[in-house]
Amino acid sequence: MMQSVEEAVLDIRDLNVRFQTNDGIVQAVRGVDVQVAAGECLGVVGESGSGKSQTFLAAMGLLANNATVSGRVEFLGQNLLELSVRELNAIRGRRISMIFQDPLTALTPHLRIGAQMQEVLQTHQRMSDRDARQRCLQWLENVRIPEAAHRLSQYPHELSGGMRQRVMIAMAMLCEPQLLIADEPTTALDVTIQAEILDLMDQLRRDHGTAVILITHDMGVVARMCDRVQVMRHGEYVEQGSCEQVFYSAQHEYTKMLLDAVPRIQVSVDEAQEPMPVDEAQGPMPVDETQESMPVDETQEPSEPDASRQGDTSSLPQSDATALSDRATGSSFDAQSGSASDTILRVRDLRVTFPVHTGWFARKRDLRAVDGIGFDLAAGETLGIVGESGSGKSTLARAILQLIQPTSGQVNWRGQELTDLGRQDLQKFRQDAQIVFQDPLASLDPSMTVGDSMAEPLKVFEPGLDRQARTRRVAGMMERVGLPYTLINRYPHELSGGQNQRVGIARAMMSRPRLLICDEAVSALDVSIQAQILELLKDLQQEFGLSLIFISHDLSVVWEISSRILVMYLGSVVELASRDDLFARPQHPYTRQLVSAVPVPDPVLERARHRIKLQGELASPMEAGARLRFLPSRRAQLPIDYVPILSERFPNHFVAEHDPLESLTRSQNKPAHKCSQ
Amino acid sequence: MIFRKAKLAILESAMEGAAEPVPGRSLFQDAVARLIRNKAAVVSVVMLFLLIVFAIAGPWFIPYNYEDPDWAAFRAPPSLENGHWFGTDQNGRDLLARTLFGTRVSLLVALIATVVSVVIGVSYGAIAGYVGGRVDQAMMRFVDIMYALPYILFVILLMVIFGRNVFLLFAAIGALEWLTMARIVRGQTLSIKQREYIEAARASGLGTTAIIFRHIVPNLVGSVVIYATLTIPEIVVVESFLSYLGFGIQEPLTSLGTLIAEGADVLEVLPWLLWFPAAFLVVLLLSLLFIGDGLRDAFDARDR
Repeated sequence: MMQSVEEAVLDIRDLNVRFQTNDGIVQAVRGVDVQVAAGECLGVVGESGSGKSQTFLAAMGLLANNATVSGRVEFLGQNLLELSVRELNAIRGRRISMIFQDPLTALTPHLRIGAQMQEVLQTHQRMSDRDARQRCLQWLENVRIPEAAHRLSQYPHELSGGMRQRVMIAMAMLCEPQLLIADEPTTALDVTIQAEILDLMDQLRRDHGTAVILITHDMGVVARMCDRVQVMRHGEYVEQGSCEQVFYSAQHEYTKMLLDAVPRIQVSVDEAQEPMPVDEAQGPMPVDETQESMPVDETQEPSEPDASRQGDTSSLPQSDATALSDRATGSSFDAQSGSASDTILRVRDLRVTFPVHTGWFARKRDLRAVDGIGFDLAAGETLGIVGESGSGKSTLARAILQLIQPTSGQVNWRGQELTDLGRQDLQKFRQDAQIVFQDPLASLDPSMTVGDSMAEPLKVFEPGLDRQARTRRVAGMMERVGLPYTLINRYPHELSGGQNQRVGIARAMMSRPRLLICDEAVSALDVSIQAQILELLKDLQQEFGLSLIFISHDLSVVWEISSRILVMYLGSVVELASRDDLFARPQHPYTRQLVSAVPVPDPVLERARHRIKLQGELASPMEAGARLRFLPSRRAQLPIDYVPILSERFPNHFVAEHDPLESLTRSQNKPAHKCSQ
Repeated sequence: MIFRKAKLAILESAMEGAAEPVPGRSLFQDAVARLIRNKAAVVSVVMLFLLIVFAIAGPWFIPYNYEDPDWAAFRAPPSLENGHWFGTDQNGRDLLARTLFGTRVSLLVALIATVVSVVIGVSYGAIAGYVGGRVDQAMMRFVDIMYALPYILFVILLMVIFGRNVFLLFAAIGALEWLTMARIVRGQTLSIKQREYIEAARASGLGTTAIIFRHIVPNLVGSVVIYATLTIPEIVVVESFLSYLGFGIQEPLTSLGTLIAEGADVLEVLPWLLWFPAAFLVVLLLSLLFIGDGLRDAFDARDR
């Protein structure tokens, strides 16, 4: 469904962008055509470096000085490339506006929200202060910001990430532009907030007939939002067509690869195997069964090899007595996944608190980043840890590795308490437990070659090795993780993100650890690279019998690799279950919200899904009573810092106390609009 | 699975070209390459190099010595005929020889004092920054106290206690200059400490000393080099100032500062005694400053 040129709001023809760099000319965009009609949502998909952002920055005249642009960019009949800066300024912000990825850096930190918003109106429409304020207020309400009038006098840092992105959208929409360019608008946000922002953009598009160009790498977001899709690679469009065409009958190899690389959550809800609840008396039971449908995707193989591994956990090692005694002491629970013999890591009631100064004269308060967490990890098992930003996932990882001193609680490594280990024994533990970080470039020393970085653990743990032996070991590990040996003398900044992450994994694997903690290890990578790294981790796990703790905010990635999943909220566990249990029968409202917010890369399923929306935003751990968000009915009786207690609702399926879902939802959302055929 | 294939393809291509590892380009080498593209910096490097060669080798080719008077020429103006190209002073000493010797001394002071300040400042700052907490507090308060002492007073005290000694002067200047270096290095260390590769190093069991000297100090090179090149001119000026006041180098030894001080006294009658040493000093300082500026641009490139 190509739009004819007359209808198009934006019509880009044969756009070329070249950059003059120190290493010669880089052609970022090669002869690209784009048309968008009013009220249409065009998705531009591609991996990093594909030139998807550069196309539209060029069209807006926002490129760096070393760029040359050729071609034609027609916006409502005007060629934007020929306009002077002044004429462009009259269009930018008024008729075309942009939303950027990072809402923190896109707002000026020293100006109040109101002042920044009014500036746009006063520049473009010469409005009086009062009218401008009125309009700003109205738009803040349109983007559903609570207490809008109060927000106008706040500074950007006082708002949460999701709130800031809403302010950005409100600002972009103030002059009711004909075209909205959104460059990865939700990439920096948590899934639940992403879902809300996307709904909001969709609503605005339908209400105001704004054409939307959505630049993203996330196929799930595209499936949800877009009418048409263009897939970009190396500065060219390799495929374009309607959403359905691209998703269901992709022609180009690259598109197929992209779609194939996206982890898809597939759960078969088998009602016959519904287990009996463990203890009827415990806590308020959920009445409704899982009616929010996780899409069942038949296009893929039914099961992954390690999906079945969790099937035989029929034993019920947890006795009610221990559960009750744990409840009585108010501490955390005791969860075991396998027999006690192959449990290598046992975490009990782990707490990490940081003192925080809240004001000049205010007393120090404790930020409870990790608040009484306990779990067991068996040898060769993968535990996924999911939670939104600020839930304490990374702190937990560092506390387990003793990189941060836990405030209290026990970490037991193969029968040894880590918290009271001496230096020597800790060194042995460090050999056994390693970590892979999120940002592959930042986790490597920029002044060392990657070969030296990988050899470093050997210097510590096997000081007897000579240089040649070390190089041999490094070369062996490089081959194992799929790095060409030729890269051994390179520096991190010369490698791609995926290669650097392989180096990071190789370094962690050098000491042959038994436990590898991956802290958002694939979050900074493109989907295709992400899939490769996940596969590498699985391979390594099989070969070396590794146990993995895989931390991510991305549920679909965690689904792909984990056998059990632990859901964290504000430093404590709200749900812990095997992967399939968790997705087939999510119990806790928070888990259900998370699961329902993950975009699915399938337009028909995605648009037919129900989304669960809970009241309020993700609370800050500093906020009093934030932990009672899912227990509003008992807020009056319980102490303000009460941590809801975890109990075993089904065998090996632990859920924290909560009110029934119905009392927590804001309003059941109608299914999003149907695909325009 | 297509990724297995992709992985195999990577491996195969690696095997084909596996003969020789490609040497990498470090960030430092990148910075040097950027510096070479900076014309002002390159010209300054050449000037500085010439000046150094001149100061070291020059005296061998001059028939005069910096301390022995030429009894035939007192207060001679610069001229090519009598061989005193820069003229002579009131005592008949050749000014060219004295200027070259003075340049040597000034450069030597700068070199020694800079090395002292870099070694002390970097270790001190990196340790304070990395260890943090009370240690950091105590160490930085000591720096603050040292800052509060007027350095002239400090130098005078040293002179009184230990007597006049050129090397003591070098040490004294270096021991003052490290304060700023320590502060800069500590700040940098605090930000590097947050980086994940430091955490990775801790996770792989490295001790504190190893982390500081293997992972933190090498990554400070950029800021240290920049600051050191900007310290050198400062030290040259401080030395000139101290010598001018009479605390520095003493007769018959000389430095650029001493020469300028003497020249300034007789500016009206023997102007060349001021102009030539002053010109040397200006060229030296300008070159160093341009190099420092060039280094800053080269190391601060945003694509790090």
